[in-house]
Amino acid sequence: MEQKDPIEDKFKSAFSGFEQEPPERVWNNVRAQLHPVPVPLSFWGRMMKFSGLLHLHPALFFTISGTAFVSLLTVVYVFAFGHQSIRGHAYAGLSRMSSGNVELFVVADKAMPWDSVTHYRSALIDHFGHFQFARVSQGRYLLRIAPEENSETAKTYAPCWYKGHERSDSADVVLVERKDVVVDVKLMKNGETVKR
Amino acid sequence: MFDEDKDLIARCLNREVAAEYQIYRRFAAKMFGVCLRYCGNDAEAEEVLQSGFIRLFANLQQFRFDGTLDGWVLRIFITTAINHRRDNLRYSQVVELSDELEDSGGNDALSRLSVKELLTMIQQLPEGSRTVFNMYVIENYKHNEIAAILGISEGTSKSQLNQARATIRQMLKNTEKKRSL
Repeated sequence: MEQKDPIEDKFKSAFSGFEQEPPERVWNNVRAQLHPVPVPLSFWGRMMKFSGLLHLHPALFFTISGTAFVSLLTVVYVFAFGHQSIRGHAYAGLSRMSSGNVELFVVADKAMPWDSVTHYRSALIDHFGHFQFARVSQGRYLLRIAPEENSETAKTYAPCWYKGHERSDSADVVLVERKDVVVDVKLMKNGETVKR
Repeated sequence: MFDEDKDLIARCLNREVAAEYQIYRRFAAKMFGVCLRYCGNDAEAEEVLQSGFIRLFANLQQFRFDGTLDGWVLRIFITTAINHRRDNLRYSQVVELSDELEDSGGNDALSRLSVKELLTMIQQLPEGSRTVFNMYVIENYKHNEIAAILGISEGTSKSQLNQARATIRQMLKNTEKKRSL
């Protein structure tokens, strides 16, 4: 049986209710560990976290996302920058037409001659004689302009091709490359001689 | 008190900061006192206190109300302090101390010592004997319990206690000498 000596009694009684206030930083540290404040991740950190959520190895994730990004850029480029517009004004004599139709035909260079011109799109001429074909792919086109049927203009002017041709095989080609094209088209008077 | 504790623990389990702070306020000073006794300095005691509270909140769902919350918390902090120092614990050779208890030298000095001075004495003890001294003298553990907790033999526990006693007596004598000069 161990004996308790006066020294031990002294220690025991001294420390039985011994308390000492810890510094406030202890609670701050405890709280920070219990409720950590999420640190905002960098862009790459977020990407890494996202790859983790998808259960993908980061290398595979970045390969796939890089490929997707390049593909997206290509698609955006093709759709946004690979297209131009053809626009202009239609004239009946010296004044602009107030109504009518414009038809756009695409010229397929490598097709057989008799089917090389195919209808592509149509557009209306507004009250100011303006027409527009938006998002036209690069290539060669023909334009045909016609006044509205039974209108006063139709009595005087006949439909024609750009630039004042009766037939498509003699019409001027509108070349669409990397820039928008502005063309003004003039109607031919009925019975007017074919322009050469 | 029982219902209050139950409510407080339930709120802590819901991760309410206010409830956690309430628990912290209730035990911080007392447990810091315990940590100071088991550790060699204030910085280490703060570290153990912090680890103890993290452990307390992490294991709060294991408290079954079959004892007092105070007792359960005290055990957590003692275990944390022991585990914190376990790797550093060194148990020196057995010190044969048969008649040391008869020697009452230093009792006069002892009566004049403040708690702070007593604490400094404990902190100056070697690691192993400090842990055994704390557990045996202040926490009232038996040697077989100390041996089981610390993973040492009962003989080692006893020898560490004897070493602590001897060291403290020597410290008391030195203190008395300094005061008499």
